[in-house]
Amino acid sequence: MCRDKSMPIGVTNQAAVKLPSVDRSSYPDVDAQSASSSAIVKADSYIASFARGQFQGYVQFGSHDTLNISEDQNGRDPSFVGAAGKSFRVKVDPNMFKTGENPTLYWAYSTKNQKGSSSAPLEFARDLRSGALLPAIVNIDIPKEARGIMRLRLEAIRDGEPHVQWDPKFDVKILPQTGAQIHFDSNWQANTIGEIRAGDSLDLAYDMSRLRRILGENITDAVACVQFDERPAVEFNIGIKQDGQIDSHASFSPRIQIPYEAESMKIWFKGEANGQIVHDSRFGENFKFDVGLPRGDSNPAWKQTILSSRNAIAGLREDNFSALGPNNPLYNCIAWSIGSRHDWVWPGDTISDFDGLYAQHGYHPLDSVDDHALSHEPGVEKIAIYGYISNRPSRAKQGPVVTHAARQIDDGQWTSKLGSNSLIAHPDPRTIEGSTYGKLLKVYARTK
Amino acid sequence: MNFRDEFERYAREWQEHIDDHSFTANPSIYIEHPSFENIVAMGKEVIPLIIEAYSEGHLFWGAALVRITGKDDFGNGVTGNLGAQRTSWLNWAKEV
Repeated sequence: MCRDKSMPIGVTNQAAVKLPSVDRSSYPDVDAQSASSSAIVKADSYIASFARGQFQGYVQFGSHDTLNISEDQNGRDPSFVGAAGKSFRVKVDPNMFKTGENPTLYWAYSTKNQKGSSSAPLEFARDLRSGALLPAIVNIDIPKEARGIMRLRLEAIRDGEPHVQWDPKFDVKILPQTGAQIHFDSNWQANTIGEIRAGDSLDLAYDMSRLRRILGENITDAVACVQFDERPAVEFNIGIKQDGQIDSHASFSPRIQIPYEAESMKIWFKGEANGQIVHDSRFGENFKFDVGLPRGDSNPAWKQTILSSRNAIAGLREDNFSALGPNNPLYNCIAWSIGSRHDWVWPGDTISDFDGLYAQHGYHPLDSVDDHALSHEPGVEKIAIYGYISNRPSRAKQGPVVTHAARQIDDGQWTSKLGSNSLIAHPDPRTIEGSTYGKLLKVYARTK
Repeated sequence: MNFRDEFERYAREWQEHIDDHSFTANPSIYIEHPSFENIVAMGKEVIPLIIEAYSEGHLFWGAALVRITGKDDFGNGVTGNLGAQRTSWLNWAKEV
């Protein structure tokens, strides 16, 4: 294995950039017409296996091939992974219960608009030859719209009383159905299908012929390494083992969830054969991708947190904005207006201070804040600032106090980072006018 | 009231002020509060308690450390990359 044993399972401490890679000269010449390709298989179902003190997640494809995909890295995370729209199988060892306890599995999940729950008795059949009890198996069809976490709990009757077994480690992280696919094909290309967005799923389809051309047939390990922003990279198995050997003509396509706060992503692949480790990493540069903003209200709790805040902005209602992430104290609206999600920016509180800031970024002020100035013009980027006249006469002499900035994004919506709260999208820039931010003061524009 | 209790009272009051202004973009407003000034006035002795609060709490503790120590090479504690400034201060505290 090429994983650092000192790191938690699934995490590698490898540097994100400038990884050692095979020299270009060692890549065989590949003729696009003659390049051979390998099978790429996707998960058919996901499995959670419960035994006393042991929780293990698997993914299944075909009739009986499984890969270990447990994600628990710190003892508090969900142990299991499932996927929206896919079957999820729970396998429970009979040794977790005593005879006559009549255990039941309960599960609960959420969709955007509702919650769902159900239960099933755990029935342990006997092996016909040995007479031993066999694990109970319950199949759960995770709805296509399910998101977030599916909660599992086990309940039994012990000494005449209900006895519940539950732990955060029983939770199942549900991979969303919506998402993109990146196909790393046999011609050394990386083709993206769909839009890569934070919070969505991402399928990595890797043609094993790429590693096979470098390492030959005797591949013993193959993983995809995925790094979001500057976080530690996470490894995903893409090799399918048969009799202890990686099948060099097929690979497994892992589905991963892109973190809600992600802005960029780097991917590289590692293969091992005969003690030699190589990286398919675009010659050490890694495969780099931008990550788009999450879909609005991907998590309904984001919007509710804003609306229920004790100083909520008066103009915001359930139906006139969408939240694009959780609260985030790392950046403010001015930083967001100039494209940063890592800083607090504040040039001063006069319009002149903001004229100077935005001029540095190539924006020029428009003459008015009318509908035309606020309209969506393809190829033009716009920022609007808000403010009010100070009650203090000495400050009022200097003109309005600037309080906030909103930025128009490609689809024409206006977006606002609300202090240390969430980033939101609001179609009408006047929605957030009021006692908190005052009125629209000025609009700035620049051509892309 | 002992030293820690006094600090915790000011820290709680300052946190309430920050929560009250959580929609505010102007970071100076977060540190414009008597409790912030009271914490600064507690002097260098309060630094370990600030570091403790900084590791879990809000990102504006750096502004108090800048004022107490006079050290601003990690940033001013109110603008810039406040996440990185926190990391720098926490590392600094381990070394001193």
